[in-house]
Amino acid sequence: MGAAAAEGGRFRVTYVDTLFLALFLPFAAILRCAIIPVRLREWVIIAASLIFLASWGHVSLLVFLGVIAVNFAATIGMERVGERASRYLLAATIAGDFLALGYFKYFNFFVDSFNGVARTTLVHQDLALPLAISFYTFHLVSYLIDLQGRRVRRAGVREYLFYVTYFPHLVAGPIVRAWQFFPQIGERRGIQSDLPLGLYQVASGIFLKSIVADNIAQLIDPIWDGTATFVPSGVDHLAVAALYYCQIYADFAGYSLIAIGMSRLLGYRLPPNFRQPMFASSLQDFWRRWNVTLSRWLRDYLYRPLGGNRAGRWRTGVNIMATMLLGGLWHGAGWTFVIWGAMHGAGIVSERILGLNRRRGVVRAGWFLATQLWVTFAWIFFRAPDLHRALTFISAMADRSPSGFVIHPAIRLGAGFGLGALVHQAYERGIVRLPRRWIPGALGATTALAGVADLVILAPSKVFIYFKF
Amino acid sequence: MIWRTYWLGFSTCALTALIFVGRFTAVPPTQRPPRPDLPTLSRSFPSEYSAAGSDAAHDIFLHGLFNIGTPLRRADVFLIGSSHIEFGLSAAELGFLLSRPGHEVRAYNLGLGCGESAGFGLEILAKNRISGRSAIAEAGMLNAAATPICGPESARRDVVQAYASVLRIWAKYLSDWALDPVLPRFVFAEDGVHVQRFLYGMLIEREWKTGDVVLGWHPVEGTFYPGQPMRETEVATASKERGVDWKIDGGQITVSGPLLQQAAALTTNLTMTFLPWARPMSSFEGWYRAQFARIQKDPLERTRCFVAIAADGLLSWDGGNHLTGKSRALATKRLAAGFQARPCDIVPDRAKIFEEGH
Repeated sequence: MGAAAAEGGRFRVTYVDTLFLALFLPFAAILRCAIIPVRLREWVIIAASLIFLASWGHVSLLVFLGVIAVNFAATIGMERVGERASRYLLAATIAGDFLALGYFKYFNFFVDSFNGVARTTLVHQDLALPLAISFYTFHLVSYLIDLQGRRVRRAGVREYLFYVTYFPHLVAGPIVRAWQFFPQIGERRGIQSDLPLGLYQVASGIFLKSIVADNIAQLIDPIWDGTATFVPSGVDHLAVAALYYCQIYADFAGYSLIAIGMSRLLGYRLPPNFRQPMFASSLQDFWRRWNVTLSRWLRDYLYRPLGGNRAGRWRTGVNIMATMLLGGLWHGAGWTFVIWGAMHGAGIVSERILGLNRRRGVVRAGWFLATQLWVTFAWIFFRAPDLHRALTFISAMADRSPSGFVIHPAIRLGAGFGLGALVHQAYERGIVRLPRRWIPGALGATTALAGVADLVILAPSKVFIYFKF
Repeated sequence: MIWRTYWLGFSTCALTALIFVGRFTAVPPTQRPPRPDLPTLSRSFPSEYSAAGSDAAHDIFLHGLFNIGTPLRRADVFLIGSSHIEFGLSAAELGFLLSRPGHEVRAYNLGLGCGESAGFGLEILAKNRISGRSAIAEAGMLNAAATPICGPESARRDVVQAYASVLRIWAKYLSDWALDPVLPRFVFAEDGVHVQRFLYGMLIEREWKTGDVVLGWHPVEGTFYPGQPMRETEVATASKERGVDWKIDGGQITVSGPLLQQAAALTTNLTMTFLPWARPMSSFEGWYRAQFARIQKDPLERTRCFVAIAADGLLSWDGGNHLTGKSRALATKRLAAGFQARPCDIVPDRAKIFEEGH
């Protein structure tokens, strides 16, 4: 049973659903306008977050409540016991968090891998992956470590619940640190730009997700699943890999924009998660632009504790590989995700050794191209349902027969939608270069055009890719 | 102050874009059928809106949403099976035809789309804790415990998820309905950009009280059910073209073990029927022969009473698979007549049901 389908089937409420928007927009408007105490307002948001989670199934809700109850108790315990005991408690709680994550997400993967190696016949558990477990585990762990390091204070019940349940970031990030979020809790902030910028982000996020990503998915999913009604050529396969890059960008950057925009409409700031990754000139640069909050989390809580780049060239390489492999595995329980992480790790180590990420001129331009091709190639392993399918896909890309150069109309149409992902990144890159007084007008026009497009262009219904992680 | 230009840019562009798409690209109202009236929610509900990608009836019936358990528990006879039952039989008319002076019979239509099986119909009864009744089941489908798509998907949902799923479909329908008069919908396809009406999915409405379909509406063809559809196909002719004459007589029919076990667990009296249809598949004739071979003369342990419905005169709105509103009445009459002609124990003792507190 697939994790996505396991709990409640395909059709669930997401941020782009009419039902969600019909509830969220009046909800945000009431919270913005109504004169209610900040604390009450935050309890209302906590309740709304739990209702949203419950709409994805009671298992998700119960696991979530259980995990956060244990973690909250641990934060109290860590404050009350001595330094040494506090460290043990920290280690035990983090181990418990990762055990819960490991059980739900990786149990069947380990069973398969163990059966493959030891030729045993251990059976699968019928496990549904609780919604958002990967993301809230990272939130909880970062808070515990920061608390132990005295970088944040211990939160009360409301603050803690608000931080971890806050629905705009609950499901798939952005991963926000306690030090970024706590100062906003309990405050009433009336920032003039929040409403227009929030609307811009929500409208353009929905455009990226519903129009760009979902239409591309509709066209290329059958090719990945082997159910296409035509035989894709070699060039089709190449294009499908590139289109998947556009799709996953539009899907996840779209989600992140909606989350950040919704948060602004509620009066809270979340950190940006994407910075035009298709303009990345090196793999290191790519990870400063792609899923930025996850990259930073891995850097601060995994790469640096392993020694970072302070322990010599070889050790740095090992640390990078370990970080990227675990980052890959975090995305999904499968060897294809491990290979995806390994490809990024190997690429970053190589460019560091060769110094390619610091070059200028033609070498830089060449490495930019190589980086984007490498990233695109790696997505094949990320997307393919299994290793065999990934290798078959790659061999099909090498089809050099005359028919191998024909592009199917469906792929051409997909390329049109893919352009939307590129245009969005170019727009975000370009708008900051406009004279300051023009920017609001341009953003207003974009919000309107994206909003109208969201309304009138048919969008197939697909769940966010990162909701599965 | 600087954000004034945002609102200026927003309103100018929004108005221009809306006027452009509304005026220059919308399908002229004269070229499209009128949108349906919104349902009176106390009487009927949208059970399926194809643009939302899922149907609501599975969740409503299975999870007993919106107090549907009350009319379900009042019913004596359930019609269970696929959309052939949903469109092909009327619970209200069947109840009326089976009633006798001093003995009112209430029927409920639990036929469901998505090729649903009779097994799922019994699952609905089990989940709503309804037992000791009669069920008229469609014999023509797989007869297995459940089909592998909509039923199991609905069964995996809990009540909150089921409500969310239903409200999601209704919200999508309501917003599409509201914007239909003013906005078009653009569809990007391999052969170019197509403009269609905003309300672009097929709508099915069902009655809370009986489960009967009260409205079928299509964005291009308009209301096709129970009123007059744009096209009608004679089921007998269409199926004859595919080598099937629908000359099955009543009698006994073998029923799969899982279905019998489900019915036995619910102490539900199972009677089987076929609604004639014209299956657009090359294996149709073979399928029909296999069904024919299931008919037995005398009752056996694994057979149940079978009531045939003749195909003559039945019309379909979709090329042979689903009956029109008028033909529904005819098929229901034939089914009721079949019960009068055959010794199928269809109507349970109502007083007994309530005495036993089911």
